[in-house]
This record gives sequence, structure tokens and C-alpha cells, in this order.
Amino acid sequence: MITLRNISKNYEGVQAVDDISLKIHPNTVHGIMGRSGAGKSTLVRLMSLLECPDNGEVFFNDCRVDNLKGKALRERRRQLGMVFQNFNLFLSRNVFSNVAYPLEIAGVDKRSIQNRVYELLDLVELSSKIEYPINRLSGGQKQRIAIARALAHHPKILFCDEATSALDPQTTLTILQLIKDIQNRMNLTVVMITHQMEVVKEICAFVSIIDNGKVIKNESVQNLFSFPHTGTAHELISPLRYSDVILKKQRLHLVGNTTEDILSRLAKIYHTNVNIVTGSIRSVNNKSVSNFIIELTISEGTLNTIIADLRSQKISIEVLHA
Amino acid sequence: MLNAAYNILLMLIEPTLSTLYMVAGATVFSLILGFPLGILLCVTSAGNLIPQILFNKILEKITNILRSFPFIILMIIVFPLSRFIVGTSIGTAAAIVPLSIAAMPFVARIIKSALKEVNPEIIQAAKVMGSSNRQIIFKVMLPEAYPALIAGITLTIINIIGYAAMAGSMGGGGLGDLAIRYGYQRFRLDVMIGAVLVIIIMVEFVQFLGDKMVHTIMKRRGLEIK
Repeated sequence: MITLRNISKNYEGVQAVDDISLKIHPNTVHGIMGRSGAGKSTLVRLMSLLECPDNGEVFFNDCRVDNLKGKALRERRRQLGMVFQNFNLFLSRNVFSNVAYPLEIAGVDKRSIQNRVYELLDLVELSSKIEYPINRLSGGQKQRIAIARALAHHPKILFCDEATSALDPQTTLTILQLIKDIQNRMNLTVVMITHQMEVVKEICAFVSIIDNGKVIKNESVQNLFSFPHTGTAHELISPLRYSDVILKKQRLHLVGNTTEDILSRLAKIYHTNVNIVTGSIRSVNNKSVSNFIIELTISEGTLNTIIADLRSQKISIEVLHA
Repeated sequence: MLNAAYNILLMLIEPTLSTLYMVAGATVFSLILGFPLGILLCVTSAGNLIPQILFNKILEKITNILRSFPFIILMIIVFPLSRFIVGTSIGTAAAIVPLSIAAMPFVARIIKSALKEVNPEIIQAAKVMGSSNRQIIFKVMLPEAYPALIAGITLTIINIIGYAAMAGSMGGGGLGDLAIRYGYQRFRLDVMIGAVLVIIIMVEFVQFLGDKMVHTIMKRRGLEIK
């Protein structure tokens, strides 16, 4: 679907992309992973035709596209969709006209625009918000609208540039599910740019790991997680700091609206076993207040993430020394 | 007493209309001239839509020079131009020429800074969707910058009201002229106070209208401001 042949890009003396050759197969989800500053963003700007490479060639289906200009370039861009970390929706437009924008600029007639927008909002399950201003939507809803907008002109390729990085773990899962769904239904080629390995694990079939502007690993996700040999690959897949590698038994005391639901969510998101040591749920003023002591075997880093996560849900949490 | 107030009111009517005429004319023409200039200043700057560094620098310089001209001197300099365009260098219509020229760089600046505020990532998103530069300017940048544009134009009109009073003293007529002729030259303090009051009311009204519009737009966008 997309072929990059020896492309390089230099930004003010920094070699952001250094002689990368890459093939992205049709109808797959391809992850591009790397630390920040590794060159992922530049790579996606080159693939999405926002920039021209200094050297090398970009092909869409055997058609060279890196040297396009003017109208031809704009036409070509309409064959791809892009979703961003910060959604980048137009604040001057409501939900409807955000999704309608790509069709509007392509000169589609009003009636077809309307039909297509309804169809797309149905797809992302936000038809009820059609007249809403963007600022009234939650992060997850904004990203759904952004996805609908990106799909408006039936693109063949969807680029997701850190599309879930600004979202909480739960919303991330639903957005990934949506992307997977759409990919299946529309035979899309999806390129996911991310630094979150959960994202790669969840939906990608192939992954390329970028470091210092070079592809250091390019293989199926299954292989990668089975044999992560390369240094950066290893670092990205396993937790980054030493303190994160050591797993320790942690005992936590939770008070608040903790239900079993939250505990099973913890287990699911952080890939850990949750043992309930003691627990009680009492009804105070018609509100159930629960009091749990749970035990997790997790790293220091994950512990901190969990604490922040639970506190954001107004659950008081105390680390007990096991 | 009542009779005197009535007389002053009568005296104020015609100059108020002239001032309104001057302000409206100068606003329209300064916007017509300043708007494209402001858009050009923004989109040709480095890293923007159509970067043209040298062209941008020259345009910036010209705008700055025009903007730093004292208004009184500008008026005298453009007398011949007024005469050429309007047929005379005296009177309300003639005053619109220097007023427009004085406000133009101001408008350009305001438009430019309002457009610069638009999130570049949103512009990038529009680009990926296949927008042409013209579509990005008119369908994305200008609408996104709407509140800032309205606030800026409000400020411009208020400035023009101030300049118009000054233009009055140079033969432009209007409230400024009335205030000088009666208040200063004939010691009619009451007339001067009346003229100043009308100017204050005009400024307040424009400010109120501008604020109201910005507020309405913000509300429509789901943003509440106090």
C-alpha cells in the first residue's frame, strides 16, 4: 500500500529520518513505535504528504507521490485520513460541520454531504451530538468525531498520530476497538504512530520500531513480543526504568466508591492479579462506600500510575507495607 | 435652563451625524485595505502557509512606518490625495481618506495577530484533508480567529472615533470641530461637554456591541466567558 524507498529528512541539521525503507501492507494495522524524538512524527509527515523527503521516494500503490504539487497533491491527500493526538477539530464549527469539512472543500453537493455525515456519525455512535459545539465533548468523543472526519472522503489509508495518547486507559481501549472495527469493515490500511506498547499489542499486526531516525526492527507483533532482541525494542516493550523492572508485592487500602468493577478493570489494564485481602461495602446515606485492602504484584512505576488513576476517580488510596 | 439644553442638543445633531459618517466610512475603507494586508502579513511569515520571508519583511516595515506616523502629520501629507479622490481636502468626506490610511496598518496588525493565534496543528489537519491555501485561509483560519477578529475590529473603530475628533479640528467637521470651535474658541464649556459626552457614548456603545458579539460566538462554541 505504502512503500518508502530510502527516504531521508533533515531538520536544521538534525537527521530526523535517516535512509528509511519501509513497506506497509494493505488492509493491516501497522504500528510505528519509538521514543519521543526518534523520528516517528517526521516519518508520518512524510507518509501523509505534509513534507517532501530530502532524498528517497514515497509510493502509494506503485504510484510515486512524494514529488506531487498543487492540485494533484491535494487530490492525493484526499485519499488519506489522519487522526491526531490533540484531535485538531475546528472550534468554529459544530460536530456536523467538522465532519462535513473535507467533503465541503472537495465540492460535494449539500445533500450528499448530509447523508455521508449522518452515516459517519452513526458509525462512531455520536449521532445524538450532531449540533454540539466541539468544546462540549469529552476527549473520547472528540477523537470519535476526528475519526469520522478523517473517514469522510473514503480514504484508503488512516494515519493515527498518537491518537490515544491524550486519553485515559478506558477511553483508549474503546477508541482502539473502534479503529479495529472500522479497519475490518472498510478494508482500511491503518498506520498507528505511538509510544504506548499497549496500543501496539492491542491492535497492530506489524510494527516498526524507530530509533535515531532509523528502522531498527520491522516485524509482526507476535514475533516482536516473543523475541525482543534489539536494545530499544527491549526497552520499549519492557518497562523503561530499573525500578520498573522489579516487581514487588504491594498492599493497598482503598476507600471510596470502589466496586468490583474497578478492581477487575485494574487487573485488565495493568495486566496484574488483584487479590482482595479484606473488603466490605457499606451503605452510607444511600451511597455505597467500600473499603478494600488489595494486594498486587507490580512495579514501582505501575504502582504510581495506579495511584494516580484511582485518585482521579476520587478513591482514597493508601499504600500499606506488606 | 431646559431651553439651553435643548439648544445644545440641536447643535449636536449635525456634527454627530458627520462624525458617524466619518467613522463608518473610515472603518469600511480601512478594513478593505487592512484585511488583505493582515492576511498577507500572516501567511507569508516564516513557517506559515506561504512563507515568503523577504516579501514579509518589507511588508512588515511598511506597515510599521505607516503606523508610527503621527496622525496630524499624516493628514497634511495626504491632503493632495484627498483632493484627488474626493475633490476637496476639507470636509467630512475628505477626512475619511487620512482616517482610512491611518487605521489601515492598525487593522493589518490586528488581523495578523488574530490569525497567528490559530492553532497551527488545526491548520495542518486542514492541509492533510486536501484544503487549498485559499480554503485554509477563508474556511479555517478566519473562522477560527473570529472572536479575536471582532475584538480587534472593535478596538479599531474606537481608535477611529478618537482620530475622527482630531480630524474635525483640521477642517473635517463633526464633534471634534464643534468642541474646538465652541468650547475652546468661544468659551462655551457646555457645548464642549456635550460633544465629549456624545463621543464617550459612541465609544461605550461600540465596545458594548463588540463584547456582546464575542460573547455570543464564544457561547455558540461552548465556551462560557465572564
